Amino acid sequence: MRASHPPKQKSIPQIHREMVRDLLSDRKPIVPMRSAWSQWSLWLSLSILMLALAMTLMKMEPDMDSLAKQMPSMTFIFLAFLGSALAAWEAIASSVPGRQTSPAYRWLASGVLAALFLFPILFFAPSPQHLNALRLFEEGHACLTNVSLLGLPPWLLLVFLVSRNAAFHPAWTGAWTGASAFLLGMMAVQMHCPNNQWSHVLMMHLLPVAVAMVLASWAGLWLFSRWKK
Amino acid sequence: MKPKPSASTLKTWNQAQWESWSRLMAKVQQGDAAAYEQILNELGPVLLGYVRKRVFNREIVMDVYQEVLLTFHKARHSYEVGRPFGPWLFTVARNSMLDALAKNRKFVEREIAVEELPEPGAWEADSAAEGELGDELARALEALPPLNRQAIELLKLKGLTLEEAAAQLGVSVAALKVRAHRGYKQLRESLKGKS
Repeated sequence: MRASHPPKQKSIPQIHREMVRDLLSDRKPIVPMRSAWSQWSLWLSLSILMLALAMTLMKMEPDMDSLAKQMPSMTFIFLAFLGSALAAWEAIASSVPGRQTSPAYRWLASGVLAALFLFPILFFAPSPQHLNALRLFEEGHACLTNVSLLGLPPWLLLVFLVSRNAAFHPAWTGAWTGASAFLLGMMAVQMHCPNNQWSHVLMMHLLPVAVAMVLASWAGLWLFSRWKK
Repeated sequence: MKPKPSASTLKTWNQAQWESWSRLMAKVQQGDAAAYEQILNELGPVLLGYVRKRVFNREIVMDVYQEVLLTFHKARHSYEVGRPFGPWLFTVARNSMLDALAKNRKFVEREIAVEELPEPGAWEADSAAEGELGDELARALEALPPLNRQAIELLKLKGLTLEEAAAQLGVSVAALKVRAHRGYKQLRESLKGKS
């Protein structure tokens, strides 16, 4: 259908005509991006598959029997999955113009992330009175490594998807990609790790997620602004 | 933050118009030249009006407008055909406008400073023809403290950028701005007293 009020050609400045000429010369068929929903569902399903495969390869069998008996652990795992899914949607939506989420959604996603960091302190087993950072690291560095390794493939997949969009706030988008991917890794480790002391969960399971968010935010500045160049 | 086009903006075009642009975008994504030219010409006044309403410095309106059009071009792959075109368009317009303004900040700061002084062309014409204002300016400039005078000479007479001038004087850009600003103020006071 034609425009109801076609613009008057006479009023169009010369600079616009020159821009149109330049842009038309650069015109070529482009591959439209996938819809935000299809990107999100693709990422979630492929990430879960990758996670299952990685856990099998790393011989990390989830101890479902003991997990079922521990309500805090189950709730924590559920929260991690929820946080990951919400953060992934935020990462994708924030990179698609006109798809931005509402402030309420961002509050919800941020709230779930905050709850995840508070959860171990409130509900997990108390730690020894004198926390020794070195000992904590010696006993738990395997978990830290596993969270990082398991979170990396989903992050790379999400970066691949999001970098094809058009993010206007690349650092923000990057932080959400880090949160979503590494929360999945954390969730897998939580299913496997028998240590439920809050200090261990906080430092060896959740700290890598926080670090990943910061690093992904920094990486996002470069990765998600390439479409403008 | 979501872009908030004014209610009047949204009322200006009816639903059919937005749908027409949405269909054109689908053709643009397939590389249709006629559709691209049509949508650029139809959106041109819309986007220019959007920029004009929000950018108060008239000297950079067209620069910002060009940036908006360029971003529209680069982001055209990110429009999901079938979804409302308005939110996509105004998100692109708003964010590219903010990016362009951020890029132009230094330029704007420099141009505001220039406005505090007579036009460079006027300097030449006056000093050549009458000599009086030129002489007065030269005297006023000479009377400035050396640090402030150097800042103005490098920025306005030699035309260096803030970064270049700061590097030449071995000071930070912020310190240079302060010196130049003080110099302009003193020059203005001095010339005001003479006129």
